[in-house]
Amino acid sequence: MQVNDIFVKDTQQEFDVLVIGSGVTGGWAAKEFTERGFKVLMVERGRKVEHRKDYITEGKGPWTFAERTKVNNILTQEQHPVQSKCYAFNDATKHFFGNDRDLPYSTEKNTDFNWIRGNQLGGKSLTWHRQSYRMSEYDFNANKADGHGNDWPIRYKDLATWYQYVEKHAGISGAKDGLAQLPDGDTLPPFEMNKVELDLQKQLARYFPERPMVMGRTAHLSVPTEYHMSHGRVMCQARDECHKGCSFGAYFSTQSSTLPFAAATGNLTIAVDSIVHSVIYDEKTNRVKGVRVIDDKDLSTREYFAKVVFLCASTLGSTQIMLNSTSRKFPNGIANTSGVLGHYLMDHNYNANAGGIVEGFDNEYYSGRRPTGIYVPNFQFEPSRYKKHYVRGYALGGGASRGNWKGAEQKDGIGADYKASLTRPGDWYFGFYAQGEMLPRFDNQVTLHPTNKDKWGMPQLHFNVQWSENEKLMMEDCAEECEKMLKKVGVKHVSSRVTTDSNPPGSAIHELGTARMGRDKKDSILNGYNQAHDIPNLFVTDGASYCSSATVNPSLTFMALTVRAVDFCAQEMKQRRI
Amino acid sequence: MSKQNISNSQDSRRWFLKKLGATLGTSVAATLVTATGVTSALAYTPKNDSHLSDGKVLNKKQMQVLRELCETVLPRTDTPGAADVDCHGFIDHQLSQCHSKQQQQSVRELINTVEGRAQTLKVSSYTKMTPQQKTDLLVKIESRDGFPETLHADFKFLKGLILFGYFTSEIGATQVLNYQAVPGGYKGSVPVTAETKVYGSLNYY
Repeated sequence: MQVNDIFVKDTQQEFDVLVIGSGVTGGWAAKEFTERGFKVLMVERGRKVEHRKDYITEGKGPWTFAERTKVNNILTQEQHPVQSKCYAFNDATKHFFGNDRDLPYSTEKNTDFNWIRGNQLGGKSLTWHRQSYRMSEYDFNANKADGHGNDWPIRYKDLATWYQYVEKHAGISGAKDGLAQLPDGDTLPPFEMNKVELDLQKQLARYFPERPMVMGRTAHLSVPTEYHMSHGRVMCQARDECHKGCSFGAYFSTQSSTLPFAAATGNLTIAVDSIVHSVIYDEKTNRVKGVRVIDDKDLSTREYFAKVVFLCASTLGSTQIMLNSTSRKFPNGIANTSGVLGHYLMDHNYNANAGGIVEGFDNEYYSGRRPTGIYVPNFQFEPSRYKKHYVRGYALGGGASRGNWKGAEQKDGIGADYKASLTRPGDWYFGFYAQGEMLPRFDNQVTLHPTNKDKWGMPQLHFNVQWSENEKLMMEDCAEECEKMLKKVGVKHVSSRVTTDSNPPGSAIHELGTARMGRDKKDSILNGYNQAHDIPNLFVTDGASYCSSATVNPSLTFMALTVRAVDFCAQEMKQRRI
Repeated sequence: MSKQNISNSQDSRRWFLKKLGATLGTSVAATLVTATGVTSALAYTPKNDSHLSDGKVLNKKQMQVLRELCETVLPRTDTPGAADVDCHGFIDHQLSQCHSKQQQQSVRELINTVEGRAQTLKVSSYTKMTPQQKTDLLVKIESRDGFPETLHADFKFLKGLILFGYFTSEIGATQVLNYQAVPGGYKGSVPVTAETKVYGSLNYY
C-alpha cells in the first residue's frame, strides 16, 4: 500500500472528519469513515512510522545491541525515568516510547502515576500487549448493580455485532469457551497450551469449577484467513518480539491492519508531527470546527478544519486536549458542563502474583515463544459472587514455562558441570498474576497544571490518583487465593507477592475514564454513542469514555466503541443532523 | 492455507518466506528471518585482548582477574568458555553503561578480595592460582564459607553479569543454546531428548 503521498502539513481544505490520534481507535475511525466515502484528516502528534521499513530493531539478536538490549542508565535517568518502568521498554523498543524529558507531568503530593507514552504514527498499537476480550453483560451492568460509578448507557447487546466486526478484520485468536463472564468472539484458533498448563487446567476444573482456565485471546493470526493474507498479513511465527514491530503483520496494529485500508480508499490524509493544542469551538452554531495544532519540530502553529472531530488521542491525550479547549461557554474544558471532565480516572491493578515449581514433566518442552498466556476470567463478576470485604474482582493471567539461565546465578555452582546444567531445560515454573478492577472514583482526577507547561506550551497534566482501600484489599485477597489454588493443584515452593505500594496507578497502561459516557448529561461527558452531550459533532471514542474498568484488557472494546460511533455519526451526517 | 499447520514449522517457514518475498523482495525477506538483521555501529564489539589494557571501569590488572573469574565460572568445555567470548570485556562495558557506581565498586571489591586471598596462598594474583584453587575460592565465597554476606552478594551480582554476558553473546545464545530466530509458530509439546538444549532466544533479556 503506497501511503507516502497522503502526508500533508499545511492545508486549507475542510475535511469531513478530523481523527485526532492514530493508535488503535484512530486507525479504526479513519478506516471506517474513509470506507464510507468521507474525507478524513488523521492528526498525529508523533513522527511517521512506516510498516516494515521503520521496524529498525526487528529480528536482531541481543548481541547486536551494545548493551545487549539493556538501556544505558544515564539515558534512562535523563530521558526515560517513567517509560523504563514498562516491562516492554528496552534498547530494542525504546524508539516506540515517549521521551520523558519532553513529556513532563506532575503528581499531587503523596501520590504517583506512571504515564506510559507512544507518540508516533500507530501510537501504542505498535507496542500493546494484544490481549483481546469482549466485556460481558455483567461488566456493563456492574456500576448499576453495586452503585459504584454511573451506569453505562450501553449494554453487551449494543456492542456484540461490533465486536464481531472488528474481530474478523483484526484477527483475534482464542477458543470458544462458552462462559457467561467472557463472551466468545469470532475468533481464529487459539494458541496451544503446553502439557503442564493442560494438566493444571484439568485439576483446576476439578477443584475450582467456578474458576475456569482458558487460553488467552490475542490479536495474532494464529491461522490467518484468506482475507488476512490478501492484505499482506501472514501467520504468527511465535517470535514474541512484537514490541519492535512485526513485518509479518501477524498482530493487529494500525500499520498492519487499519491504515492500509484507509489509505486505499483515497480519502485519507495524514498530518504527522502535529500536536493538537485545542479544539476550535463556534458558539453561534454550537459546533466544533477544527483543531489548533503546534508543530512538533518548529513549534509553529496551524489549524485544521472539518465538519466533525473524533478524539482518539488516548484516554489522557484526549482529556488533556478537552481541558485545554476553553471558551466563554466552556470555561472548564470543552463539553464539560457536567464538570466531570478529568474525573474518574482508572487503570487496572496488576499488583498481586504467585507462582511455584511444577514437578514432573521432565521430558516435556515446547517450541516457539507464544505471544499469549493462560487466562482465568474474573470469577467475582456479579455482586452475589463478591467477597464480603471488598467489591468486584480480578482476572488472572499466567502460564507455565521451563527455566533457563535467567536468574540462575542464584543457584550455586562453579565450573563445567554448572555450565552444562544451564544448557538443559530447567524446572517448570507456573504462575498467576492479578488483573484487578479499579473502581471509578470522583477523587481520582487529572487536571491541567495552573502554571507548568511543556516545551510546546501545552499545560501539563497534574495527577491526583491513588489506589483505594478496595483495590488494596482485592490484591491481598488475590495473592492469598492464588496461593491456595496453586497449592491445591500440586504446585511446589509456592510464594506470592502484593506490590500495590510499589506500583502506582498507570502501571498497567490501561488508563480509562475522565470523559465518561452516561445517560445523564449532568454527570457525564458523552452519550451512549461516544458523542458529546453538549456538542453534536464532537466524539471521544478512546478509553476516556469508560464508565467502569471491568477486568478485561480494554483495546478490543475501544475498537468496537469506535466503529459503532463512526456508524452512528455517519448516519447522523447523512441525515444532516450533524 | 488449509495445508498450513503450525506443527509443521519448516513448511510454514518456506511458505512464509515465499509469501513475504512476494511482498517485500526476497533479499529483505531473507534478512528478516536471520537473527542478525541489519547490524548497526556498536559501542561495544567483542575483542580478544580486553585483558591487555585498561577497561572503562576496571584497570588492566582487574581486567585480567575478571577474565579468570569468567573462565572459572563458565569454563571452556566442548563449547567456548566465557573468556573466549570476551565476557570480561562486555562486563566492563556493561558496568560503565548500565550500572551504578556502587555496583561498579562491588565488582572491584570482589576482585580485591580474591587478589588478597591469592597473597595468603603465596601466589601473586588470582590469575596465578591453579584451576582447582580458583574454583575452591569461588565455591567458598558462594557458600559464605569464611566470607561475609556482602561479598556473597557481590559475587552473585557478578555471576549474574557473567551469565548475561555469556548467554547473550552470539556464540552463547546461538551455539551453546538453541536459538530460534523465527520459530515458525508455537507448539505446546515437544519431547526432551539427550540432545535438547534450552532456548537461547528469549522474549525479553
